Amino acid sequence: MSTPTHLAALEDVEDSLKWLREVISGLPMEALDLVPAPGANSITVLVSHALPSTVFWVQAGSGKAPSHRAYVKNHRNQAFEKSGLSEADLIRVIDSAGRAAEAALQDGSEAHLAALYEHDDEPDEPPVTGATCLVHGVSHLREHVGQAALMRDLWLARATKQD
Amino acid sequence: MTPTHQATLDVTRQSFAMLKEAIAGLPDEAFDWTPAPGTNSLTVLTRHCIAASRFFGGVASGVPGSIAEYRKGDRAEAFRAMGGNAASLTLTIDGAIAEAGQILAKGTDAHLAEMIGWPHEAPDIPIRTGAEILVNGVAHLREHVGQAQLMRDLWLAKNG
Repeated sequence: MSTPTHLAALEDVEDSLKWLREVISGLPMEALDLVPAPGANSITVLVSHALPSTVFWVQAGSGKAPSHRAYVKNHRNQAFEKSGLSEADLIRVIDSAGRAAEAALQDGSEAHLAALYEHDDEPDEPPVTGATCLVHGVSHLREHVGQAALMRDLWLARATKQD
Repeated sequence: MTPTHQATLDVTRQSFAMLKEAIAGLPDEAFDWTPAPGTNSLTVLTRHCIAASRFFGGVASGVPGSIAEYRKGDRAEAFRAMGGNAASLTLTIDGAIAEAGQILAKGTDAHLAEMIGWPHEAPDIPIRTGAEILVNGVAHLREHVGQAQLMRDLWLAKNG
């Protein structure tokens, strides 16, 4: 049984993933790997980073107590090195994350919203409530989808100018 | 205040702090610049996400509002905005942070479960729970903060 907050998080994640599929639709690998400015990330990196992060945070907000150490080691560190993935490769990442997020959020309870989550690798980091994990995870995903959408606009504007 | 309203306030404060960092030190001409056709300037993004956060945060915290009035008033005004600068927008953001605290402090569990919609004013907007409006509202804020961060990088890359 889920709560209004968990259901709201699920709906927002699904909306963001739908938008992200539209953002990458039809883009060549060159566009997916483009870094538009120093300090920015490519669409491939944004997807590779934001999706596992979303799964991690919604699990943390749904009583699953995922390991932050394992997340950083298995996902976060590699995400920022990713390149050379196709639209189809990224769609598989998005679909997989969508399934994992749904599985976590459908088990959410009121107790999970108030429960405190602690990182297992950062003892100085203050614990946060499950509700904060959910709202942070959903917002962080949307932050990067918004950036990817702007990057699509930049790519298309550049392509139009070259035609 | 519920854990969800508190979490929304925490992420709202964090997001507005990120927005202040994104605009800090940029010259006045950066604020009306748009990086591609169909995109919005930093002035518009800032004004729009502040107005939307105020309206939807209130709606999900027991302050009923008219979506038609919001669209015709604050929202339309935000998309017309020009001539912002780092100092004036930072002051506006600080005001929005303080206001968010007052608005979200009133949130209850009943507000999260309440079904909210504007079937007569805006049939295009589905009826949603207060929780959906709240979570969507803060995600929308962060969406534009992420874009503002990227626009800062683009501006600096283009103009040194």
